Amino acid sequence: MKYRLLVVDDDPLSRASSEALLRSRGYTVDAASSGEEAVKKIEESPGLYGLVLLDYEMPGRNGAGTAEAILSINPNLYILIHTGAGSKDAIKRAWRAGAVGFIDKLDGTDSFLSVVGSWCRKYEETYLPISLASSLNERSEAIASLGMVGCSGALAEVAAKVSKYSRKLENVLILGETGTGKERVARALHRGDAQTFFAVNCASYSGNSDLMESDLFGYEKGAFTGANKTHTGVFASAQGGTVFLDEIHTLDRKAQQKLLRVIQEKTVRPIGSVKEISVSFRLIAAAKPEIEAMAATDRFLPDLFERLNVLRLNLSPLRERPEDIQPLVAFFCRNYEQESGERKYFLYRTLQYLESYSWPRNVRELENMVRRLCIDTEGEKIGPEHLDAIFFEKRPEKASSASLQEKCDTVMRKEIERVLLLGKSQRESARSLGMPESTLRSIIKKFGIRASL
Amino acid sequence: MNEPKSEPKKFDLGTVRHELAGVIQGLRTGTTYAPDGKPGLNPRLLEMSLEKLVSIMQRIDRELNRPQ
Repeated sequence: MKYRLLVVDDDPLSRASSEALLRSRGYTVDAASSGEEAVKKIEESPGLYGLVLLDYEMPGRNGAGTAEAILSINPNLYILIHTGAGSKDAIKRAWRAGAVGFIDKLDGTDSFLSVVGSWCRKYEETYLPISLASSLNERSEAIASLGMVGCSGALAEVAAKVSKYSRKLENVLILGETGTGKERVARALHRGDAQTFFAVNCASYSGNSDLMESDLFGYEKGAFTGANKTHTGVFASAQGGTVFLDEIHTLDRKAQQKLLRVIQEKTVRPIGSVKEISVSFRLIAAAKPEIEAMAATDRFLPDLFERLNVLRLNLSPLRERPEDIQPLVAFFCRNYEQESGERKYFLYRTLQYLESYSWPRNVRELENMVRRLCIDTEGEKIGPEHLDAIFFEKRPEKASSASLQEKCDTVMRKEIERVLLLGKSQRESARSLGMPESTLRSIIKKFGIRASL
Repeated sequence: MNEPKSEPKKFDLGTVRHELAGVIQGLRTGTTYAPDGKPGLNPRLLEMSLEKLVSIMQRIDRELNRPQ
């Protein structure tokens, strides 16, 4: 089971019997003896639990107060009040606080297990579709093979392509904004290869093509002032290996032309030499996504762009894959703990703010922010109050020209796709969507949804 | 000297009902599922239920003997 149940009861007998009952049916159960302890457990691991069984009559924070506090941390949790008090008032208060159901401690074990079972199924259907959960795990593993962290479909697609391209010799062009992990992907492409890997940042030549030429092509002794000895350039040194040219769009026109010649002829002529040297290496280049527009408007040599753009990998910016933020934050917190011995964790509410931020400098910016917060924050918990004001600024919503009907269609389509992903029959899917099977069929046909998503 | 060390809790029918409901739950589970989750007796739960019943009975006795 991918999630746990939390039993909260101050009475040791009641707590022990609920735990025993649930464990007898294979549930993974944790227990807390007070509302305060329960809130602390949820704060520490907001995504760990799916269902909370909450006693109402407890000293300190009662059932309603605890339910409210728990739901403010993770609103997706289902809370069942497990009470022996039998007070209608208590039930009303817990209902208002967000509890979804009630079990009387006088009820038999069958009834108890049946109510818990039905809410667990509902939780699984709503928040944890099994097919999605297993595909998320597979995705995370594939992404980890890149040396990256995440669970998004976009990154998993890159991982699949890297695995395919790493066995090829064609040039690869990696496009992505700053901080999206272009060099990491380049190294993953090279990983299967035991030969050398040379990483060169073209921005360091700052438009000086002579500097680029001496570094990449090499030079003979005495070729220019200061050339005291012969220097083998990067291209000649990388025979059989990989050369990674980062920020290739920053090369000036002259440098672009010289590079094009190397790629076309597979030869280089070191400065001051009359001999051409044959070279054989795999070229991986990285650039900002704008390079395509630059090539189209002749601001980047179109021929060179075409030569580089044989195999292409697009790295999405972090704002387009917010599902990667949580695993990344957990990863950076673990790294910090290993280095400093201090345990830190982000509250669920904090992560929600991070997920709605635009991250212009992507993963690098997130990593720096997590580290800064880990150092600056006293105590283990990092809450929204520790975030910079920028995370609370209202961003203008994207103007949508869609009509009300189109918006309704989008919501309906998403919901139907979600239910179909659970792998149930169309009849069961229609029942859980609350519509006749014939209506579901006609909607599937209308939107062209694949029935076996 | 058998006097309790702390002030005894105020007798409250709602609380007693709540605790008895816990005892009933403990007895039901204790007579149904063994500690390994298989059908059978769970001596720990039965013992806890018994102790709880005794403690409730003692509170009822104290309430009955309380000077009016």
